[in-house]
Amino acid sequence: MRSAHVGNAESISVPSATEGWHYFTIYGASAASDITLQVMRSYVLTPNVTTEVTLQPGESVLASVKVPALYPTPVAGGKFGAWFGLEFRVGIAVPFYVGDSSNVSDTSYLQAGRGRNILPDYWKVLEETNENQTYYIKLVSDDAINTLSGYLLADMKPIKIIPWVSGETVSPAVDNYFVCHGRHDSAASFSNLTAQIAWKLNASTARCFGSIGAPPQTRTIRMTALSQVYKAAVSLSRGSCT
Amino acid sequence: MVITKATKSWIANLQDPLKLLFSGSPVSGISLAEGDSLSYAILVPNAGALTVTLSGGVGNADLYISRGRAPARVQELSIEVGTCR
Repeated sequence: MRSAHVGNAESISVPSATEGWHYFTIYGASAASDITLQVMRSYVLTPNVTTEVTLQPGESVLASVKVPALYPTPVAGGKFGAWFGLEFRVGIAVPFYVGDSSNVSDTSYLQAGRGRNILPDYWKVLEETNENQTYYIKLVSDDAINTLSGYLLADMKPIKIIPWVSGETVSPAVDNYFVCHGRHDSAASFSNLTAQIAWKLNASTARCFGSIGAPPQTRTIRMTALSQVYKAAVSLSRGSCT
Repeated sequence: MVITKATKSWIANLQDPLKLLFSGSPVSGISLAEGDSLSYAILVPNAGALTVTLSGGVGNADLYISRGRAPARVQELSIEVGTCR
């Protein structure tokens, strides 16, 4: 049994925690007070392999990837060179209700939209990475499952906040908008609906602004998240210089 | 890891309800009388690594970890934190 002094954090890693429940029990070998317990899930990414991570409300997890050493690779044009770009893709699977806010009593439509998934894809590519450097992405969901924030870290220190949307930077403490794409085709009247959804963070009911049919007809769609999990995927991609 | 007779007895009589843990959300202010125990559980939806940290405080507390079943059965790892008074 290992021991630690007061004030010195003592950690144990379970490198291969399988899916399912894990249990922790703290036993007072003597009277003890003001102790802090924390568990952090983490995932090691493999180049070109997408890792799916499920987050529960209020959770944060770490995903790490080590950039391999560079080596010369022949590419088209007779040039040599290779680089590894870090591409973080985060997709969120959130079953939701879709309703036309101009006629919210239209339960048939609400029913038609029940359980549909919206799978937006957010990604950020780092085209310049250091070889043999380990990068981390910390994914954080809030308690109300309305936000999913990402932080890119190197050496466990934040180096950059990932701009999920061009021109926008998501900050967990500030209201912001995700832009996502949804498709709902289970109701004939709404076939071919592709909605551009502005998902305001920290709002209990997200509002979706979309176009139905051919532009410029637009309507407001109500979206209420039902799920309590996020599914996030991150991957490392390899590129080559030409 | 040394499991004493007293520890085995305590394990066999665990009755505290489990409290849920969430990744990255610390539980602070945990206090225990000698011989008492508190049990927690976390659901791992995707196989990966777990890092468990027990820190701060005064006194002497041991942490037992088990997988897939109640900690009364198997302890795979343990850590101890605090100083004996």
